[in-house]
Amino acid sequence: MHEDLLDQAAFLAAKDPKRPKQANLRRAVSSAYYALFHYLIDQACRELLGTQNDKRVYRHVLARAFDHGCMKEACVAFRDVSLPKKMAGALPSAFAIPPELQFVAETFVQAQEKRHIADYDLSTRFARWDVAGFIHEVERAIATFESVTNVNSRQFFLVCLLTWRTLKR
Amino acid sequence: MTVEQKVLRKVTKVLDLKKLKKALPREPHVERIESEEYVNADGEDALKITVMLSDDTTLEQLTGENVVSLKSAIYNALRAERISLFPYIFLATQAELDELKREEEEED
Repeated sequence: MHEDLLDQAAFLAAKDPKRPKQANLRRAVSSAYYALFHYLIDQACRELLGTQNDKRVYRHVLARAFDHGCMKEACVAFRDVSLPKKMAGALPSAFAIPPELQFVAETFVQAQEKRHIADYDLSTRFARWDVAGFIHEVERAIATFESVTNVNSRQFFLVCLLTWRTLKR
Repeated sequence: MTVEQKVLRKVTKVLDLKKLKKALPREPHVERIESEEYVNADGEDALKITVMLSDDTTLEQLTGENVVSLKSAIYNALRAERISLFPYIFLATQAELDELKREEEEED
């Protein structure tokens, strides 16, 4: 899914090279955001339910429980390496948020804001270079996430995307 | 908006191209960086940073690596000065912004 959304974003951003239509740039931004959104949700569901094919339907049901706002709040905390004291204190002392995860979290926060502008704020116009750069940034964030080798941090981040509002209390 | 002018002046200083140049990627060429106060979709104070690229920027120069290292240079510079406002970063060329302005005027 995320690959198709990224392809769609790149296709829309490259249309009308001389005078890109704002509608295409806006949809490109939105598609790129949703590529990252669905990618992270899919990764989280795989961690929680398993990667087997017969779990696919369960993963799809669970995916509906993820919330944009909750995911953003978790990402802000991971980006800033500022987990609530109680949570940080309960984690093993060796727990660390690797820079790769900080980058993914940061990209998600940026992406959500851009998607909000793209979908709701008609007073802002998008420049093609910004959209093109943004799509590459999302691609990079996904590739970076794949490279995170610290399994505990990676798993904890993914679970936080779903449970942050309860966990942070 | 409640971002203090003092903070904005500090941001402008931190993002001065002369200081930041070493941390920026070779491509695309950055002509200037503009910063202004911003309120994000959740109503939080933040920064809007517009990175003005040279008009001859090509799509090939906007690789993931270049874009990320450009944005990282900005994040890192702000963090190093303990500026906690989140910078929402936008890229553009002057020619593009002029064109967007023309389009807007035509629509009015």
